[in-house]
Amino acid sequence: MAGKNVIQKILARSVGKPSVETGDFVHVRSNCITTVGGDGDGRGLGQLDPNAKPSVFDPQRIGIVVGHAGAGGMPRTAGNHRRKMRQWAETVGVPRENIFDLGSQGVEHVIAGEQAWALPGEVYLSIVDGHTTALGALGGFAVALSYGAAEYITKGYTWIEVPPVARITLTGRTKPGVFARDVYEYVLGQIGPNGTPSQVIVWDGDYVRDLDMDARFTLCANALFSSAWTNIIEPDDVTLDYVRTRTNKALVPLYGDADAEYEQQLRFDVSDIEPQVVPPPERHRAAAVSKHAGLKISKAHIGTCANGRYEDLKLAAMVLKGRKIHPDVMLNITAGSTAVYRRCLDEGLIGIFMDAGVFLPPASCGMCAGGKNTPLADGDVCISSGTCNYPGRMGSSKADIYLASPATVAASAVTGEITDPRQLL
Amino acid sequence: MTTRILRGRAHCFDGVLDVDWEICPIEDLNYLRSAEGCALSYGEKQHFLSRNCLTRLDPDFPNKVAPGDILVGNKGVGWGHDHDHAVMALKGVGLSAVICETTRQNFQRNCLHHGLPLVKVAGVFASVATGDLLELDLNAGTLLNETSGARLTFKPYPEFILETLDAGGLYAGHLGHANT
Repeated sequence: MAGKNVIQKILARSVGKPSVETGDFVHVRSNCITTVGGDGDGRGLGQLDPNAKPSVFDPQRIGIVVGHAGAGGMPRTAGNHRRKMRQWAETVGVPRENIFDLGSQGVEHVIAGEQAWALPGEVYLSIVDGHTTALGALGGFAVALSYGAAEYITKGYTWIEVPPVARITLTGRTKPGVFARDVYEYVLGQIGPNGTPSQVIVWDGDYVRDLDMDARFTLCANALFSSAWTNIIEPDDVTLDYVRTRTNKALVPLYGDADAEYEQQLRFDVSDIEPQVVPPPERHRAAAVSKHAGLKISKAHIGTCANGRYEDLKLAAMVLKGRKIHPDVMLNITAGSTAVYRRCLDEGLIGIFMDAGVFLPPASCGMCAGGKNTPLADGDVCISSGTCNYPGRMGSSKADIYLASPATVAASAVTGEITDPRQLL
Repeated sequence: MTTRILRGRAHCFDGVLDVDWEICPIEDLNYLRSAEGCALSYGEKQHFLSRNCLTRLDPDFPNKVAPGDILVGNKGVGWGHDHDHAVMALKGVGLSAVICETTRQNFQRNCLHHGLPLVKVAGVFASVATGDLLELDLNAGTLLNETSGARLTFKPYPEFILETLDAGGLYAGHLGHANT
C-alpha cells in the first residue's frame, strides 16, 4: 500500500484521524486565523442570518484585512463595507491586533503570510479569493471558503473531499533574468488549463529548494489556472525560519512519505526557460518574451498577490534605478502590504521609484482586482505582474493585458514596448 | 429516503468555461459589487446575472433554457476564480444541474452551497447531445440519457451534501431562495 502524501497527512491531523484516503469526505477545523476581506464583495458576512445574534466560532481565530477593493477605490462600497466590518468585528469580539484596516492594509494573502496566519502542516482558510493558494508556500493546505464562508465562521468547520495530488518537480537553475513568475507561466503553458483538475500540486525539486519565500509565494499564487484547488511546498529551513521570526506558535510540520500516492508526477528542467509573456485573452498561452518584444504599451503594473512582495519590488528597482519611465507609459507599482512599502522606504527603493516617475498608490490589490486604481481605458495595452489577462480584469474590456515578471514589466515601462529584461538588468 | 431525481433537456458546451468569461462576464460581477448591486435581493441578482449567462458561446442561450434543463460540460467547467456569481447566473437562467468531466473545487463547492447540483461524470460529454432528455439520480449516482439510452454512473455525494441541496443551499432559509 502506498504511503501518504502531505495533503492526506494535513487533513488527517486536522480531523483527528490516523489517516484519510483520497475521495473521503471529512469535516475539518483549522488552528489558523481565517482571513476575512475587510472591504470585499458580498461573500462572507453577506450570507450571515440577519435575524441571528452575531457570533463566530472563535473571534481569536478571525483576522480582517482591508485592501482588496483598492484601499480607497470604490469609495462608497469600500466605506460601507469597512464600517459594517468594523462594527461586526467589535460585536463578535475580533481582537484589534487581528485587524489590518487603512493604515496597515494590503492584499489579504500578503498580510496573512507576513503575520504567519498560515502555518506549516495546518489547514488555512480565507473567506474568498482563488489566490489564497499563495499561502501554500508555507507548507499548509490553503484554500478559500467562498460561498461557504458564512457557515464556516459561524460553525468553525467545513467539509472537504480529500483531493488527489499532483507532484511537479522543478530541477536546474534559471538563466539570469528569469524568475519564479517566468517558471510558473512556462509550466502552466506546458500543462494547460486542465493540467491538474481538482488536484493539489506539490512543488518540489532543487529549483524550488533554492527559492526565497517571496519567490515561493509567487510560484504558489496562481495554482487555480491549471484547475488545481491549491498547491503546497513542503516546509524546509527557509520556510521555518520565515515562520519562526513571525510567530511563536508551536509548529509541527508534515511531509509526504517517500512512497506517497500521487495522481500524476511531472518534471520540468528550468535551465532553458526564457522570460515569459502571456498575451490576452487566454491565461495559459505563455511564450518567450522575444515573441512579443517591440509591442507598444500604454500602461504597466507591478504588484498583487502574485508579485507585490519586497523581493518583487526590489527587482523592479534594479531595472528602474537611474532610469525614467517612457513618457507614453504610466507605471503603477502597488506594494502588496503597508509593511512592504515600509521596507522599500528603509532600503531606498521609494526614491528610485519616484525618480523614475512611478505612480505609487496605497498598498492593495492595485490594478488587478477589477482595476480599482488607475483602471485601463479603451485601447490601453498593459503589461502587468497581476494574475489575470482576460478582458475587463483591470478595467475596460476593450484593453489588452499581457502578463510578465516584475523585471519584464519594469523594463517594458522604461522602453515603452515589451522588452526582454536582460537588456536592462 | 428522499427521492432526488432530476429530469431535463441537455445543453452541451465544449471547452473551458471560465466563471468570469464564458459563464458570466466579470462586468456583471463588478456591478453586483457596486452600491446598487449590493442592494439587490438574491432573486434579483440571479435575474440580473442570467441575461449574459453563456452568451459569449450562444447569444440566445438564456432564451433557450426551459426550467429544469441541465448544463453538460466537458473539461474545465467553472474554471478560474472562486467568483460565485457564475453559479447564480446558471441558476438564474433556470438550469437545475451541472454535469461535467472535470471542474475545480471552488466552483463545485459554490454550486453545492448555492443549491445547484454539480456532478462529475466520466464520459458524459461524449454520451450527450444538446436536446437529449436526461434523468439524473443523485441518490443512486446514475445518469440516464433517455434519448440515446446511454447510462453512466458517478459517485453519489454523502447525505449531508444532498440535504444541503434539498434545502436549496446553505443559506436558503434566510436569503429567501429555498427550493419549492
